[in-house]
Amino acid sequence: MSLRAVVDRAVSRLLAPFPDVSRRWAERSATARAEGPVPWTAFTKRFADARVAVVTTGGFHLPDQPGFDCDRGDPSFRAIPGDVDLGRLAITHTHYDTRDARQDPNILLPLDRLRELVDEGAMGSLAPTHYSLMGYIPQIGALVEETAPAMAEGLRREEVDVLLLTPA
Amino acid sequence: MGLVQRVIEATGVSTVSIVQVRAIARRLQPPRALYLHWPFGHALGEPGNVLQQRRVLWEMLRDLRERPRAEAGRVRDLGLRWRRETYAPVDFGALDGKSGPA
Repeated sequence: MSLRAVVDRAVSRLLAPFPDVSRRWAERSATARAEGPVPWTAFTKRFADARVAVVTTGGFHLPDQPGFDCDRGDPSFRAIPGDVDLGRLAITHTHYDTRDARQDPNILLPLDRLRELVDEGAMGSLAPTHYSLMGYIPQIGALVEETAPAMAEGLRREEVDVLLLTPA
Repeated sequence: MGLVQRVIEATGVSTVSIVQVRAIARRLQPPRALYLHWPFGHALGEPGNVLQQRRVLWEMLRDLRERPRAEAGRVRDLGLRWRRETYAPVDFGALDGKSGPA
């Protein structure tokens, strides 16, 4: 872990009791890490030959996976199988009104809609694994240096071409 | 989320996001961001509204297909109003250059 990540983590712990201050600090820390040219991977395949995955910050997890730490913020992710019955998913997230997402998880994690596109031949395949985070994440260092690379490695392993990201 | 998107795009995956706080997205500059001024927790719209959800997915895929590199990092406003739009079926096949029934 870099020095910057260690500092991020320490400050986020100190600020945990003060969510507004914590959030502002996280925004500043995040902005500092977004310097430099915007990364770009051109999409050149046909969608009918492509594999798609979703990352959402909706706070979804399987019933037997641990929930998220909504008070201190939580940079960890939960792997969601592509063939999951969305009705089985739980949500741990106190920073948005989750009632509609519980009623229809597709508004954040549109796996039923994407399965329809695969059935229609408009999309090649659905990735075996999708990823859910909880959107309140003051631990920017851990997010950028641990969580994001771990998800990227999973996407690479499963030969994902297209990633859709949805916020909550 | 914008940072996660940048990290993953840099590893060779084409990414597109819905964003709901335009100011943050403008600062973080994820490669492809589509802005919707909708309530938090409703990135693809309302529960059970399949046509609306398909429209948002279609907008995301269209952006992947059509956005030029020169517009990397720009936040595009989809301009869809909350609960004041009528959603027609969309033609996903057309995104691969095929025309067909919507």
